[in-house]
Amino acid sequence: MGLLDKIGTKSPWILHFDTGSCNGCDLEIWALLTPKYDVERFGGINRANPKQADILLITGPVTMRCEDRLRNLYEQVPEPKLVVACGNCASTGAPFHNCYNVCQGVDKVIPVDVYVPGCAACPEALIDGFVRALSLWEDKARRRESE
Amino acid sequence: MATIETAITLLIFVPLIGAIACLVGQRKILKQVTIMTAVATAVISLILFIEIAGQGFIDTRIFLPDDLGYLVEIFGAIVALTFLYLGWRTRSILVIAFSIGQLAVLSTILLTPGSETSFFLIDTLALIMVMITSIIGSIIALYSLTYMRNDPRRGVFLAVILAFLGIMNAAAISNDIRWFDVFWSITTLFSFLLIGHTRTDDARAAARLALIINTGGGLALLLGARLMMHYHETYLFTDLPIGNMTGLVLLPLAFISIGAFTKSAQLPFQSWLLDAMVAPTPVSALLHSSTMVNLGVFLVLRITPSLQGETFFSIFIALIGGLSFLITSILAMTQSNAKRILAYSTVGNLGLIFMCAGIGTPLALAAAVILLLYHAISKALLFLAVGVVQEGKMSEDIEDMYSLRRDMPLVTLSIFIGIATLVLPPFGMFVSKWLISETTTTFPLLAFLLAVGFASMVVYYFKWLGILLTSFTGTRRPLREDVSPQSYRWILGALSAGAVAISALVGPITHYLISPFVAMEYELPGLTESLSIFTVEGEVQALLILFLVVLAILIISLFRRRSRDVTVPYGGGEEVIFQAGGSYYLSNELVTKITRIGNLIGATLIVILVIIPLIMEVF
Amino acid sequence: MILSSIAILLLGPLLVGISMGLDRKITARLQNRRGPPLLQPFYDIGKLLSKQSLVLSDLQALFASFSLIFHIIAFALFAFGGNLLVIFFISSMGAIFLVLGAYSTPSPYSHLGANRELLAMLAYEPILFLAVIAIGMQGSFLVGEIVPGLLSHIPLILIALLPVLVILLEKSPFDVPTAHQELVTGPYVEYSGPYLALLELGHWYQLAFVYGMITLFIWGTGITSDIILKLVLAFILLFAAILIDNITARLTRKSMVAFMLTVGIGLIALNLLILYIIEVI
Ligand code: SF4
Repeated sequence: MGLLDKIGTKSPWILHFDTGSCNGCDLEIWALLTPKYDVERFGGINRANPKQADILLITGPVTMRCEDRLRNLYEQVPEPKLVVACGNCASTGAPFHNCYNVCQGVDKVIPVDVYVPGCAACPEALIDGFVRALSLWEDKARRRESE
Repeated sequence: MATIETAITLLIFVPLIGAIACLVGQRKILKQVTIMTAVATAVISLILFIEIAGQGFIDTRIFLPDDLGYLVEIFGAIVALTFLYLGWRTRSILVIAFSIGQLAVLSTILLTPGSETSFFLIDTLALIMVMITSIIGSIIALYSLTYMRNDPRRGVFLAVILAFLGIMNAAAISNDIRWFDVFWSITTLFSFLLIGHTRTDDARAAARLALIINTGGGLALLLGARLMMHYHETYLFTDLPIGNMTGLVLLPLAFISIGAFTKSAQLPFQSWLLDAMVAPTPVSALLHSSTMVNLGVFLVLRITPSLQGETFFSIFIALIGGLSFLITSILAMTQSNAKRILAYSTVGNLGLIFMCAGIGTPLALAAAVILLLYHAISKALLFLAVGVVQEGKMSEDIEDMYSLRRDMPLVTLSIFIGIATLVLPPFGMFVSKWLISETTTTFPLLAFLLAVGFASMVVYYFKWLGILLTSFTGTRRPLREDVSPQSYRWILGALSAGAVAISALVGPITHYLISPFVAMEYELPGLTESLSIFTVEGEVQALLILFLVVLAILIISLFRRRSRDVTVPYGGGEEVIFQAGGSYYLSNELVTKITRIGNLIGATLIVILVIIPLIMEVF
Repeated sequence: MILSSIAILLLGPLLVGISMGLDRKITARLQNRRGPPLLQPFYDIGKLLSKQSLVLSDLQALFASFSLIFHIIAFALFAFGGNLLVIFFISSMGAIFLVLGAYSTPSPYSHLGANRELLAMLAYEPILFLAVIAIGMQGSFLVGEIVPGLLSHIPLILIALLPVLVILLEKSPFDVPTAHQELVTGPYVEYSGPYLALLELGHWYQLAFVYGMITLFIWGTGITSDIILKLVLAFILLFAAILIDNITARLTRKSMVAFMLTVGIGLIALNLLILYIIEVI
């Protein structure tokens, strides 16, 4: 299984979910797919389907309405899976902190592996977070096997 | 020899006696009588089969006394008179006209008796027909015992069904076209009675339509018989000259083919079969898919040897068949009523057989007989399964069968098997599909009809099957806890097992049953080689398939052991409660339009079929 | 002979895998990106195999394996010089099991995808079937006995196979079944992890059959030139498909079926007609 896990890091499929962001970070995530940043270099493609995703790029502070949806999507992603909270809101809820209608961060709902700060998080930082998440992959896979 | 004769006599008379007992007997003996008759018929047909197999599948001829001939013809006149009466009762000028025509032709036939003694011919084709009728027919008779349990006129129904078996057996072995016509007309009558059995307005209208078209067909057949006497001086199929006919001598064959088209509901006559689906399901299974409608193709298969060498004529038979297949396959995609889908596909499959008969090469003929056999079994299975669903769910609509697998796993399995044996390799129908496709190289135009037809067939069958199979893991009942009644489960199980077994036996069946028939027509000793899948190249294929299937089972078992976690359907994060709807692709107007175009082309082709001999005569 | 057959059987899907990588690479270059490594499709399959198996319906896994198996059988028959018609029917069975697998899940997207996949089959199967018949008319249905000269006799059929390839590669304008913007991934939507890998592999074998059929059209004089010519021809068609993908938008399902059943069948009919006329004259 070791080899397969190593291969796994070469093919991270993305699920991007917006939990009520201002769309700033979303645009930056879409920029990752453009010629300039091109995450497909790392094998990453946007599958838009939780069942086939490995890395969840979550933006937004998770509004109350989005909470169940986020959990639902997260549960549909097969193990091993990684969650990257993109932007300040996804990490802490920052601009919307203490708002009556938000959960204040993705980690209040599902476990997060990597936090990418920034409002909006710039593409370079996102790629950095993305690559860091991949470095956690083998760890996760191994832990899953031992369980 | 004596065994065969007795068996044949019994196969005709046992069901008839059973029918009389059903008619006159009390309600409580119905069950015993039906079971006894059905079992007896099936067993006798098996004995017949074993006996003939023991003799190496040679043709058997049973000669009949001449007096019997008159009796049968008088019987034919009685049937025609019955049609006349029915025509008056149903207020149908056409039926009256047709039956008067029939009477007229019958009287001229009586005045010109043939010189040779008529006989029953039991070759492998007839044997296949008899086996289908006796075994599948008996199973369906048993099925109708349960299906019609609440019907006040159950006795009449069962009597007609049983009597039908006897008549069908007699028709299948008739070699004399006069006899054949009488039995044929009687099946028309039975079909009329059974379609109208429920006595609703729909049923009455459908029965009337069936009567009109089939008496018309009967008239065409009789005309064909009369002309056959005129041009060929014989009433026997076996005495027809073989091959290379041109000119007016083809005219009787044209009329006979028209008769066959009406019985087998080819375009433009398909409407009666579609409307006949209002009849109770056993009727659809028995008469309108697996046996009676086969009489048409049977008839054409009987005359194909005479068509050899004259491709210009026979190709029109092939075209009508091919057209029927194409149009009905397309139309079946637009239907949501399961029985109607099956009806369309029945017409289509019969069309395929006509196509093969029209192409007329040895391979095509083999394909035709394989189709005839496998189609009968699978279709009967599908119809019976739909009947069970209809009873359980009160609906024949495929959308109401959503997730049927949950409650009726056994019924779903039998529908799966029915469809798989009809469409998928490596089952029997696949062999015939393969042979048909190979034969179209001689006439590529037909390949175009086939191409779209096959693809549409896949669409309508698997759309339906897919809806049945939808279910969550673990929600399915175990097979033995299927909610349908016990007797149904036995019948469906038996038929499914039979369908699979007979599909697995396609090699031997082709070799022993079908090749002799084809070889008889063509005297081609080397034929069996080219048919069998056990040729050198075929052997490689067979071995390879075997090896890979083993591999497959290994892979599957590997994955089976893996723990699987259950998840929820994807709905963009929402919880989904899902009910499948169908997609039918064509609007109602388009369906009417396509039907109209199909009918128009079909009618034109039929007119051409009659005109060709005249033209040939002139030039 | 047997050795070369086994070589084809093993190399075929490998080559298809590489062609998929090439496809993504070329697409990326056309969009001025660097694109993934050439072996990316193999990485994808490896990763999928290592993931957790999540299912909705117990039939899903079964049908996915069936789909793979029938595609393998089809391609194996091809490699061993079997009958093209049989191969075609068995291969279409693989496609059918993909559809059934999609139908077996109670999920709206999956059902929509399955409906559309059936429609796609309605569009491409007639063309494939007729192409097979046309090849058979040139002499033999047996792959092992096909004689050179298909390209000069039935060139239009090669052109008719191009849209078939476009549909099978799930490329616009005919990526109707998988339509990732609206149906997520159509029939594949409820498949994840190893089962998706099975389907993907099955898809490779299916493509291997179609590419194989395309390579039957051209023959070189020696074995090296033969292989090179075949690869070049397959690549030309692939490249054409990629180009079409990048310069067109998706058409509706209706126009897909209409296009295939008129233009596709028309091309084949035209070719056969021309052949017939030449023969008569
Ligand atoms: S972090 Fe800033 S830019 Fe990103 S979604 Fe939140 S508010 Fe918008």
